[in-house]
Amino acid sequence: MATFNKINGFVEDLAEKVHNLGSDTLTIALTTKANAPTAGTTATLASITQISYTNLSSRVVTTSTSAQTSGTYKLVCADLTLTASGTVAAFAEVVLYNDTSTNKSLICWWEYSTTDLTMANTETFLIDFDGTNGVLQIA
Amino acid sequence: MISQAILDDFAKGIAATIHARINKRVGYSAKLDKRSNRVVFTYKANELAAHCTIPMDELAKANSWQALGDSMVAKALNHLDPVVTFAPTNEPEVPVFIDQKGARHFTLKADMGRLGLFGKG
Repeated sequence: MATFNKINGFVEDLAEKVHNLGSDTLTIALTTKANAPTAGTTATLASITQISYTNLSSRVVTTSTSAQTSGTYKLVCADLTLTASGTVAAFAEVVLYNDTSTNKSLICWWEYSTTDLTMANTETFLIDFDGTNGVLQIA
Repeated sequence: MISQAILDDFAKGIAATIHARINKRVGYSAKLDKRSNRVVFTYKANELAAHCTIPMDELAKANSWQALGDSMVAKALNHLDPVVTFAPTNEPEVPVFIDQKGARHFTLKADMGRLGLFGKG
């Protein structure tokens, strides 16, 4: 299980009306291991060095539910499969960000591997979000 | 605990990789031997079958299935001893599946984030 890494600025963004996780478009960004986000200093998409997305399918995440039960909020997203239609630039870090927010604020990231992987034509990368516990919970 | 289903997928991937490398279909299996707490890998090409066993606790440390798969393919093709020790990664428990055409299919199991003061409300 790849560990959820919180972007520190995300909690402030939540409190200051940057995100509407129920309606905004969430998207995946990819970076190399060398350009991995850091919790305290990367807060927007412009602060990370993304790979080239040539030959890669859509990175838009579908939000399934965004609701609270008994005071605990849960964001659930559908699994996303990235498919290569040719060689894709190497990456190791999978970053979730809010594409609707003005500064495209980062939310969190997961590290797939300590070494970068390169996808070739027809290869796939499944981002398997937790269907029960969701992407994140807030209480 | 590694399941037999995961080992079956892993073995299929190794067989597909070998097929892609030498253009020859071979038999490859990975069977969980619960009694001895180990996994028996069997490679069969022609008449002879080669076996290799890896203890479960050693496999549990092998959290890069890609590297282990590469090692098992190398063993099958070059009759080398498998190498199970390698740099640990965050690769999840889902192995890289290699299809019949040799294409790899990666899975990142994304753990959930728990934010806020759980239990304090």
